[in-house]
Amino acid sequence: MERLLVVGLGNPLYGDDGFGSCLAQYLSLFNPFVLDGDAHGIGILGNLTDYDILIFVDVDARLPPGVVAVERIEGSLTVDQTRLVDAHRTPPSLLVGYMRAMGLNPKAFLIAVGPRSFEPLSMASPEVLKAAPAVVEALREKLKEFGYELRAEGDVVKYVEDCYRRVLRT
Amino acid sequence: MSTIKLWIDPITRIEGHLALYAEIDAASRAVSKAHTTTMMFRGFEVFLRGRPPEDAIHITSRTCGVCGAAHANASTRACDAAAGMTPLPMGNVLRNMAYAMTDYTYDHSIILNMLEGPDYSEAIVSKLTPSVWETAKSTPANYSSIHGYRTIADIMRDLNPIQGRIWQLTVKHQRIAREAGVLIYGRHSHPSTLIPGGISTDVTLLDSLLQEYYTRLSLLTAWVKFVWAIWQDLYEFFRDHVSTPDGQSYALTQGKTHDPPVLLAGGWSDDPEVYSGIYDEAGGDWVKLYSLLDKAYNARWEKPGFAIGHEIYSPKPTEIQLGYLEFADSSFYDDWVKANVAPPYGWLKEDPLGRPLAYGNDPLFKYHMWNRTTIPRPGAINFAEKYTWAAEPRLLLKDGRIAPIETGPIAQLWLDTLHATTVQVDNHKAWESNGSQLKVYLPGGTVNPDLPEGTYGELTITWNLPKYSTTMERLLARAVHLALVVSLAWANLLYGLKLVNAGKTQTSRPWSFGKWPSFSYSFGWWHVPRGNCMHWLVQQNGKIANYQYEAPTTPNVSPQNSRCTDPWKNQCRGPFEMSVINSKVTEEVPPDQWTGLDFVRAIRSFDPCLACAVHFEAKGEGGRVYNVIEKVIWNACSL
Repeated sequence: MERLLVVGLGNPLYGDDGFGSCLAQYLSLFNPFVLDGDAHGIGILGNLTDYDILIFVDVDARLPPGVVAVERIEGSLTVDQTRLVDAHRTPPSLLVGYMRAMGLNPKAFLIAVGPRSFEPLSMASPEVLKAAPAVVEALREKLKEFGYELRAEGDVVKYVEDCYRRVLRT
Repeated sequence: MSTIKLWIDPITRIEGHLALYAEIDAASRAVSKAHTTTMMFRGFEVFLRGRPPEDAIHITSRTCGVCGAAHANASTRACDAAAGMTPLPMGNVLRNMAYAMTDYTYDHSIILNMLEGPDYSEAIVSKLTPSVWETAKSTPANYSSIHGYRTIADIMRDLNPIQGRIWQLTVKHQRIAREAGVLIYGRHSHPSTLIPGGISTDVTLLDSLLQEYYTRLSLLTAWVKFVWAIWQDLYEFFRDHVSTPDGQSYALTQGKTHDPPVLLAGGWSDDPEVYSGIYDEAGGDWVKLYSLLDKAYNARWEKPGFAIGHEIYSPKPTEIQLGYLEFADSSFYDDWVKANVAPPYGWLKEDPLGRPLAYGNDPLFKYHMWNRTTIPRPGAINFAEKYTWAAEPRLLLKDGRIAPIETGPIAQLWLDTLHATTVQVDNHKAWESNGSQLKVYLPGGTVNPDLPEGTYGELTITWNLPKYSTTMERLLARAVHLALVVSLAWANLLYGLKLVNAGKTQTSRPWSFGKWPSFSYSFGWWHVPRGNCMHWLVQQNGKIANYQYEAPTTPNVSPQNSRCTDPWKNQCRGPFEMSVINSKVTEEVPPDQWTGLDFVRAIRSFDPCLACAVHFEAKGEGGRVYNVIEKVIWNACSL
């Protein structure tokens, strides 16, 4: 079986940006292969290098709000180009590109949702919250392709909302 | 002869933003002029006033995205002393165990192999100093039995950034160190569990926590043997096979700092019983507790003090700090003494024990950190007047001399060695010293599938006290110190297990919000990967009246001024500038293509941290005001 890791990314202090992180917190309660990548930027790199398959959960600003997409992460960086990576803002494409510059070549996917807003200190938008079950289903289908079963119990939307409330102290 | 003028701005692979200006004689390759300048105003001291002291632990942590725990720990010690409370033994053990991982094992590893390492990689060495590369290819490594590399060139090849094996192994092992620390701190790089008089780590499942820590410590013990062996080999290669243009040993002369050396260390790893015991002895009286701080600091498992050459000037932090002054002659601040701006409580003249600050020297006592007021005064760079945001720490000695200050892992090992002592828990001897030599003992049975079997066995590392601090001596000291802190992590883990067996798992004293004396003042020193982190706190009724701190790099990055006396009268500047002045260009390319490799090697060897935290500005948006990060400068904040 190939080694697989699901990584949710984002910062809940910035509205919809934190969705991937909160969703990963929820899924990691039931699945050992799910990691909350938070907003570590390139600091998360050390967690990724031992895996054959990486599946990120993150927002993709190119999508309309609430729309869910499964994307394949292609492309790579040269060693010289890695100098241009901003250590604090490192989306999945750059993380995977960085790994390919290191000589690693994981299969990499992104389960993406379109954001409404990155307003600081605001709850995830209704569109993104409503899309949470669809993101979980898309992830479940992708995991099946590699022989992994996704487990989840309870109300994902409520958990994500609670995750934001913990962070925002509302 | 022509003069080459070099502006290196920014110096990459350091934390924060630092620039260097140097003038070099093209024929002799010697430096005639050097200045470093930092462009970021930190300003935490300004907005800390009026807040609860315990908030400073978490606010000052945000000074830096790499060594946040450094500030959090120094601040915690300042709060302990001002509150009159220290943790119970298990609390001290947990504080020590966490810090051994983050920052030490994490930070030393990335500094050596990812930030400084590329300067010694094939990519750089073969391009800028091809003759050194040729020599490296034919020079066998002395420590192959540990790291597995046949030649020095093999090591340099794997130090290549991104694609080199050492670089990639560091990505992995720094993560393991952070995981071990986060078991106790809750998160990295800003610990969430440090509180005055204790630590709030949930110890409900303490046995499991110690087990999780142990598995990581075992892997990392093999790792530090690997890293030390690499850097011991590089040091010996640059000592025995590489020369400066005037025929001197590269390792023994390049990047030399002051003569005689002036080295300050705070020590770290509080002795679990002694640091706890001073609370019982003081009975809740913060002044009494202050009088016991030298005892507690000297019981630390690494030792404090200020050394001049190979002599300890004083091992007592409360005594040394009486003369710890900071000036603003060359830095972008108003001189608060000349402007007659006293702190809110008036000029403090004595420490809590009644000893006069600055030994009674007026006006110098007003430059003591308890009396400082930060008044920013931005301006253009003018090397003849003011040219940096880094202020100018100097140490006033009892005999009236004023010295510059150097700090870092070399300073810590220097003081450990001069203390001539042994640190041991049961059968685990962590290290011992005799005044001129230090030995570090690492346990065996440490299997790590990513590393050669040579890293699995017991190892004794010997470090000889050098005559001077040079570029390569500082790098070697960092590698030896990495091993030493891991040995201390074992000592703390063993002590923690003893406490568990004895049922002594309580960690903290009953400190609570608002529980502060009506007035108290203190300091907290904690030696960290980049130097001695020093915080000075004055609180009134649970609010900060004044808070001043020295980031670990502050003494090292000090600009030039004219405050020093002999023998440092003509060396009155921080170690960064001194190390550049005492470097010669060894690049084998025409002068118009010089990159300043030897200078950035010298500066990076200190692991500079210019504090990247405050590069934001307030902007109006939609009728509201946010703090918006405008620009993130390339730095070492994450890796």
